[in-house]
Amino acid sequence: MKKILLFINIFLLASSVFAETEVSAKWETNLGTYFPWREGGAEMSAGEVCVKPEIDSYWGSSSLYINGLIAFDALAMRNTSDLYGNAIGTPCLGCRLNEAYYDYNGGWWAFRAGRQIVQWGAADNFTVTNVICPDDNSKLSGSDLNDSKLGIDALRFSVNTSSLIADAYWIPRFTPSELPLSKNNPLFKKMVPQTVDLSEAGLGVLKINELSDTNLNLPEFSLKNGECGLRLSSFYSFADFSLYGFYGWEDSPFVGYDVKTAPAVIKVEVAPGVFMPVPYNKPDSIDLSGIYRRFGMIGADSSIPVGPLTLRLEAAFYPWRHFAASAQSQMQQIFDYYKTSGKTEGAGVTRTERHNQIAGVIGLDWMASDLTVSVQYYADYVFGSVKNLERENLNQQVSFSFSYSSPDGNLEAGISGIVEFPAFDSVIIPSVSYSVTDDFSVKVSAMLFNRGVREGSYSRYKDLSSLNVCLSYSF
Amino acid sequence: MKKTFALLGTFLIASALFAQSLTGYDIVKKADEVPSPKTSASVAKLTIHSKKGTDRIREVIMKSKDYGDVTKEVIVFTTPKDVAGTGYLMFDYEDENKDSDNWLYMPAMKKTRRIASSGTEAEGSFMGTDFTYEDMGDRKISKDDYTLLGEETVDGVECYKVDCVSKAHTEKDPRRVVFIGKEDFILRKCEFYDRQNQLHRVLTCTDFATIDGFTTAQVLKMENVQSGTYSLIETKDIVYNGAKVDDSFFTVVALERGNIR
Repeated sequence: MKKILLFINIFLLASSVFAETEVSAKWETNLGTYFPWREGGAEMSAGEVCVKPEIDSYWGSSSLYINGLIAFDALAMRNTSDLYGNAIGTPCLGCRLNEAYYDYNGGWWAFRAGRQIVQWGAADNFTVTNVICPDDNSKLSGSDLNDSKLGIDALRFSVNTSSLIADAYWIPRFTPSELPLSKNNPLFKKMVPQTVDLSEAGLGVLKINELSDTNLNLPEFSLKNGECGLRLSSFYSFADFSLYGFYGWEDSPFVGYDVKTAPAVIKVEVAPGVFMPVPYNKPDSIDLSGIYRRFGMIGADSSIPVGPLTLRLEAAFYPWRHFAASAQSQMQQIFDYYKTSGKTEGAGVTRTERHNQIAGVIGLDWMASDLTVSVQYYADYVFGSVKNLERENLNQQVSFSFSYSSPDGNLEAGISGIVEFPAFDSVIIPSVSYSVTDDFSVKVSAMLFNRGVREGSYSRYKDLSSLNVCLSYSF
Repeated sequence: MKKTFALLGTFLIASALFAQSLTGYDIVKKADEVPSPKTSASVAKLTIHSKKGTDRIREVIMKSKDYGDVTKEVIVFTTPKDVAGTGYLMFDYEDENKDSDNWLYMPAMKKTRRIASSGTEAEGSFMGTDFTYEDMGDRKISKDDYTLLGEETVDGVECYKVDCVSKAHTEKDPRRVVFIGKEDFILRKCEFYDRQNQLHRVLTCTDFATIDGFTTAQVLKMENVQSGTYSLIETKDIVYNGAKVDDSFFTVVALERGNIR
């Protein structure tokens, strides 16, 4: 409750300091159910009530923007420390400051300080250059960017001309992505396996213990652990161009698997028919831990109008990037160590491998008066041998989006989706939204995960296909 | 998206011209040649009246500047809250062979999208109203054939009544009948006929004011007689050739930074 009161005080203070202040808010109720044919039946998939207050204040060349979230999650699936404190797995009220920044506009230059959400790149849905802000991975979808991206605490210095924007970012404090660590969150089970079979090693099937905040080794808050980014964008009649550079931390941790032992006794035959009890440490379960690694990115994008179409291109290179070694690979290392040394502790396990990676998107948009059609092709390639990784060298995906808006703008209907190759698994998202009044709207959508010819990124979630209703009221 | 609301003012502005034995083409040409302000800034309230009798309100800030070979315009939504901050930036070139440049900024996505020019978009609804984007601009007079039908009084003002038929018969409303003031060459009323030559929409211009020497209709009403809906555009805080329109407004950075207030 203290956090919420502090939150409200920040809003009140901001609105009193600046000369012109606009205060608004949005109330949202999200309800969802899994489809009944899944294992476990038609349980609820979402039950959240949110208020999203927003303040936009300005005075002369200065401005202040604050946007927050106060939410009650009846299913207790969210777990962010900002949002719900330590109340993991318990329905409760929580709050989060999505953005809170001060802007100064000096004409050809500008300065921004505070928590801010930054969006890079021309691609939709696919991450190529858009690596500066971490994702909220604690749920499958968000109704807007503030739900799917987390703000970074950063300083931004900008230089602007009529056709050029140069933004330099310094992020002194690393913000990791939000993980689905709540016990009630079904995404957690998709993140790591529940058990591992070590029968071959004579250890049986071992349970994997839960990952929690305390097992995540975040980089220390110090100058050397900061992040930095640069964006250069230019706009011309024939095309728009942007260049990006980033050096920081991977937003999600690399999971490590360690064997946890428990004291046990084994009877050893010391003479014919004579057994002697010998104490030893018996492998009991697997502990998880998470570490964060550095990475760098250089990338570019372009948007080119071609008659009635807009062509979008985006590409990035990630030199010597870390990739997680698969659970199987890590367990094999522990197993080999166990066989050779007879010990279960102290195995030096390689959690990540480093490879060069390239990624790119080609997209086409077509807009008529009421209809928007968009298609994208995404590919990324990891150089070198990937036999120890949980991926192949080449990953390809195709996305599509068709949306219709009625002439008066009150009704919006659309269908979008992503198909992954060569697994041919997919996610399809149909949605219909209707504005009952200027301030009140209803949105019904579904998220359908489909099997392909083999297991893929989307078929993993097939049990989480759901139907959602969102009511929102702006005031 | 090629044309915008600010240019409608240009079309409606009068100069003291005299007409003698004018043809339909001459009358429309004189209306088109009326001098226009170099810059324009205004706030517009858009009321969309449905068949059921309910009203939807939109408010936008609009600024434009004529650079000679290109007219740059920016529109930013302030109401409703859901779309506040959404902005359009358009560069409309004098050269008929050159497509306009368009950008759309969506605050919910924190992203500016490049939008291609599209032949069909000009006939699309302007912000959900009964106006189309083409209604809001200065339609090229070379697009139509003109016939002077006679004279008629509109709202107490003597007007020429000119029949305008599109040379391209593919448009949704290929025929228009315009009523242009005899003395000031200001558009007072326009009737739009569909492909079946049935009356589709009626535009009436009222609440004229002279601002900085430019006569401007402050209220525009477009009534769709077929659907029973109508839309009002009420303009206020109009400033012509003022200091409020800075070159920096017509940039993507101004859209992204929310500098247009």
